[in-house]
Amino acid sequence: MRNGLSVEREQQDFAEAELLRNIARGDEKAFAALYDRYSAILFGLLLRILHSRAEAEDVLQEVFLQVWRRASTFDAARGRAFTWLVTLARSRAIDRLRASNSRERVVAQAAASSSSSGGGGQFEFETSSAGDAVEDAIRSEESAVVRGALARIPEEQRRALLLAYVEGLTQTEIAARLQQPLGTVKTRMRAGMSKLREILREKTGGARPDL
Amino acid sequence: MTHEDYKEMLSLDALLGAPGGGDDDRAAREALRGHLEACAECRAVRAEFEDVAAQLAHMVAPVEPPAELRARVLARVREMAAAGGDDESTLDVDDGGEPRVAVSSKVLPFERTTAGRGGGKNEAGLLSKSAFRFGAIAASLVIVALAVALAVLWKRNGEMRDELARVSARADETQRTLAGEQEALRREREALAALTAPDARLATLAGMEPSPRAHGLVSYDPRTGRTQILARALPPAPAGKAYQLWFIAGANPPMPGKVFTTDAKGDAAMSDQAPANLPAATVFAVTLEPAQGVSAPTGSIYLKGGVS
Repeated sequence: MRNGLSVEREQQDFAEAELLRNIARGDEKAFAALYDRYSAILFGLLLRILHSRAEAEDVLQEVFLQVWRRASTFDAARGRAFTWLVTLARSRAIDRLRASNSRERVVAQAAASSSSSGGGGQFEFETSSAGDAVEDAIRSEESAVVRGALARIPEEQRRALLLAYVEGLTQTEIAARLQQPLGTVKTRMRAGMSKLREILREKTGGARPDL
Repeated sequence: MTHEDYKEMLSLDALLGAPGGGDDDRAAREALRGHLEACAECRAVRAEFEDVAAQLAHMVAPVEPPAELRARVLARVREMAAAGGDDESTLDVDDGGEPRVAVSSKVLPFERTTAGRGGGKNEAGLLSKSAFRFGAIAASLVIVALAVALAVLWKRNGEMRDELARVSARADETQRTLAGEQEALRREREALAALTAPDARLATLAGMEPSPRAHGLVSYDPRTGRTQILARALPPAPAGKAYQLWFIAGANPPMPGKVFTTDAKGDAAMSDQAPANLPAATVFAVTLEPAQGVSAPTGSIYLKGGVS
C-alpha cells in the first residue's frame, strides 16, 4: 500500500542520498544544504542528551565534520540518510556522556527536571525543554506522523522509548527512573518498538514488506 | 545463542545503540555484532528498527544552533577540501575512538595580529589603530552574521515556496484527472441508462464506404426522444469538420441530430434528444459535415443502420 506520504518520503530519501553522494565528491554547497536541513533537529537532540549547550555545539561540529569525511561510506541501499545522521549524532553524544564522567550529574538533572514538571510530563508533545525552540513551521510532516504514532502506543511504553533514545539513558537508568524492574522495562521497550514499527509501516506504506 | 535469540534483541539494540558499561546484557549485545555480520536477515530487521528509532528524534523540538557554528563548520570543511580532503591528522576523531577535540577556530585572527605587534615604539598609535581595526572587524562580523541569517531565512522561504508550488501543482493535476474521470463516468452512466431504458430501441450502425472498419450503436426511445450513440473506429474528423447524427423516419427527409467528434482512438459517445416533430425514426446515419452542423446532410455517410 502506497500513499502520498510514502512517495514524498521516498523523494526526500532520494534527495538526501543525492546530497550525501555530492558531499562525498567534495561538494561544499551540498554539505551546507545538509547542514541547513538537519542542524536544528540534531542540535535539539544533542542538547536533550547532553544538557549542555557548549558540549552540544562541540558534538554537532564533530558530527558534521565526520559527515564530510565519511559521506562516501553512506550506502543508500542500507538505510535512510536521516537515520544515518541521527544515529551518528546520538552515538557521539552518548560516547561523550559516558567518557565525561558526567553521567550522574545528567541523570540527576534529568530526574530533577522530570520531578519539577510534575513527575511525568517531560515528554509532553510539542514542548521543548531546550528553550529557544524553532517555530513549528519547519517541523516536517514526518514529525507529525511520529507524534501520531507515539500517541497510539501505551504511555508506559512511550516513556521508556523516549528515555532510552532521546535522553540516552541506559536500561538500568530507565528502570531506576521509572521505578520498575529491569525486565519490565525491557519488555515495554521491545513492545513499544514493535508497535511503533507497525504503525509507521502503515503510515509510510510499509517500506519492507518482506520482513 | 540462536538466530531467534539474536532476532529478539534487535529492536532493543537499535533503540539503545552501542552497549555501555551499565548494561546488564552488554556481552550478549556485543555477541550480536558478530551475528549481524553473518546474518543478512537480522541486518535488514535491525536497519528497519534503526529507522524507527531514528524517527524518535522528531519528538525533540529542533533548536537552531548558533550561526557562528555554521560558519565555523563550513570554514573547517573548506580548509579540509583545500587540503585535499584527507587531513585526518589534524582531525579530532575516528569512528569509535575517543574524541580528541581540537578545532580552535574560536580564536579570532585579529587577536593574533594585535598580540604580535604589541611592544612597538608607537604603542598608542598602534593601540588606536588596532582598536579601529577591532571595531571594523567586529562590524564586519556582525554584517556577515546578519547576511548568513538572511541567507538561511531566504533559503527556507524559497524551499517552502517550492514545496507549496509542488503540492498545489499536484492538487491541480489530481483535480483535472478527477474532473475528466467524472465526465467519462457521467457519459457512461447516461449511455447505460439509455441502453437499458424499457422502451429503448436499438440500431446497429455499420461502417460505410469511407470507413468500413467503423461501427456503432444507437439507442432511441421514441416516446421521450432520448437518444444515445456510441461509435467506434471512426477516422479523425479533419479540421473544421465534425460528425453529425441523422434521424430518418420512412421516406421523410433526414432530421438533423447533434454534431460530435471522436477521441484519439476514433471512439465517441454522445447523448441527443430527437427532434420533437418527428415520427418515430427507424434509421440512423452519421455523416461528415462542417463543424457547426447543417440542417440537411451534405457529406459522405460514415455509419448507417436501422432499428432491428
